[in-house]
Amino acid sequence: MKIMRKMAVGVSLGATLLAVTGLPAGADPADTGWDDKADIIVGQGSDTTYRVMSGLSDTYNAANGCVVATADSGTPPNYTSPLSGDCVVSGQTSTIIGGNWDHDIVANKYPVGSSQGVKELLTGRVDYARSSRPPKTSGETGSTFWGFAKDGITIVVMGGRAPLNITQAQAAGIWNCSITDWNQLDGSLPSAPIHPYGMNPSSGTKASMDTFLGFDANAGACVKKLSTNVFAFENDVKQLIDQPAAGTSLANSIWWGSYAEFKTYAFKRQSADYLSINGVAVSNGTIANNSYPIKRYVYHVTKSADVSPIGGGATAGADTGKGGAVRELTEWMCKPKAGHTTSDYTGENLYDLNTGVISNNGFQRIPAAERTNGGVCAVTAAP
Amino acid sequence: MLRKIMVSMGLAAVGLLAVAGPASAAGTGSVTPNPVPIPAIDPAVGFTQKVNAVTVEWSNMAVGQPVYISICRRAQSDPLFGSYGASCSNLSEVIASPAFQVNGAGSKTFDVFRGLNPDDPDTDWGCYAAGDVAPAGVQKLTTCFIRLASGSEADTTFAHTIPFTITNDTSTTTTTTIPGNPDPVVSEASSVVLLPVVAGGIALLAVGVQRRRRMAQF
Repeated sequence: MKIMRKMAVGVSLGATLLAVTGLPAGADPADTGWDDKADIIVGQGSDTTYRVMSGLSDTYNAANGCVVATADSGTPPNYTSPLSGDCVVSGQTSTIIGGNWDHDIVANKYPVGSSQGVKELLTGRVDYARSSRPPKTSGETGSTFWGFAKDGITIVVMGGRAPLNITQAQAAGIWNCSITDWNQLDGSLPSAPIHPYGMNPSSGTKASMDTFLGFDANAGACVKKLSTNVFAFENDVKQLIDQPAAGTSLANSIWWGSYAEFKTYAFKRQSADYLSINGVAVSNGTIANNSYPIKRYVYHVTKSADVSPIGGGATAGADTGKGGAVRELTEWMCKPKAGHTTSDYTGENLYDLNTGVISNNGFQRIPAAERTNGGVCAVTAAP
Repeated sequence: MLRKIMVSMGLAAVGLLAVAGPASAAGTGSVTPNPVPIPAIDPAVGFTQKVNAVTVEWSNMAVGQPVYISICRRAQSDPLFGSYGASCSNLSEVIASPAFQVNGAGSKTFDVFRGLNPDDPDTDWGCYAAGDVAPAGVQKLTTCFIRLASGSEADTTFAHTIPFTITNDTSTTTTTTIPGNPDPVVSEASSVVLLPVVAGGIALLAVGVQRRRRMAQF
């Protein structure tokens, strides 16, 4: 039984085209990130994508792959390879390479915001990052952003105020403090002050709003912080109820957040209701066809050295260790249905399970016309 | 856009709202018309779906909560339903604001598609009329379901589904080509154009759209 095993550490330039086909028994697939050992990789970053990434991670962690050693080898404490839980090499009988061959483990740290997550990735403190905004124009060189789902940014009113339609210019006027009264937006509304709130500076959801407005949404003198003198953390209206800025009322407050998060989690949404923008109501359909004006991808972020797209659905990058594990996770998240295996638990194709996770968390798959690299993601390397 | 004056009774929300449904029966609803007349799809010229608008009405849904409306391939009561993500078309979903409902009752115009589920080229189901031919590998459903849920798609207290069927609408003779973003090849190399949709409709993967009528969203 021929064993093909790459021993070199470092960047492999071999292309990986995963397919659910056979391979020589006893071998980790060649030119991949697999190395027959279970690595634990840790991600950090966005709150917006914390739950969806946790769901995808659960599916990946349970995906089938190699047959593993189930007993110790060698004399304790000097156990020999393969360790319990690692792939059997001699006598390996599995040929399933469409799942999680090495049975790597993906763990997601509690959210701290997209920018902090990317910073921790690039300084080596975590193995991948979660981001709800695209790469910055500088300072993030060496990272690749893999857009795996699409979301909208919704501007919300609260406290029983009926939703209305505003224009992009009016939104800018609210947050640059040139529009300060509700009857400036709609003359039929009674005069009352508008209380726009800001958002934690490291939030990708804030970055998306900044792009829409054309300026820093937190900068205006009228933009509110919580009573604790910090900007509200993204996507949770409860803070505005529990710690409102002095002199404000919920019914006169206006904020923004992830459409996916707000529509999925009523407890985070509370009484928030969605405004139409430029005459277009936010919905999965209007986000998909780009008629709704504020939309964004959400990203799985990696070090480019670990994994980079090379076209045709293939990647290049690390072939062992945590870097290899990140490469295989990334490929799995971004490959089409035909490349996936089925669940040992339900019999469903893992692509369909992932689509369900994405939908249940309020997001949608990247529309077909917007995908790149021959997969189902939209990939962008940081400049 | 129709605008209903919000009724303040029971709809103002001050203070934290914990999401906990009462132990009451699921909501009720209706779809009009049903069967839904929709023009024939023609994959040979690139159509994967066509749509028509129906009126969805409901009552006994959670007071003060948005209502989520979507097209699903299974009934809520089906043991295989699983979840919204497992059984429903994500791009068909629209949300009705609580501001335009009264005591958990309301109505909304909603687009029903005939043909492939528009979510993804790799989808494996669609809603069809009896005489349609579905693409290879696609489950042809002649009964689909409109689902209504309160507060979120995870709702199981008020959520319920209304079965509907599709008949062939031959009454419309003109096809309107609406410019949009081109879409890549889907299944058997059919060429499609993505149409812009205003005010909460589903994304359409069709060269032309025929609509009998279009009501305001709110």
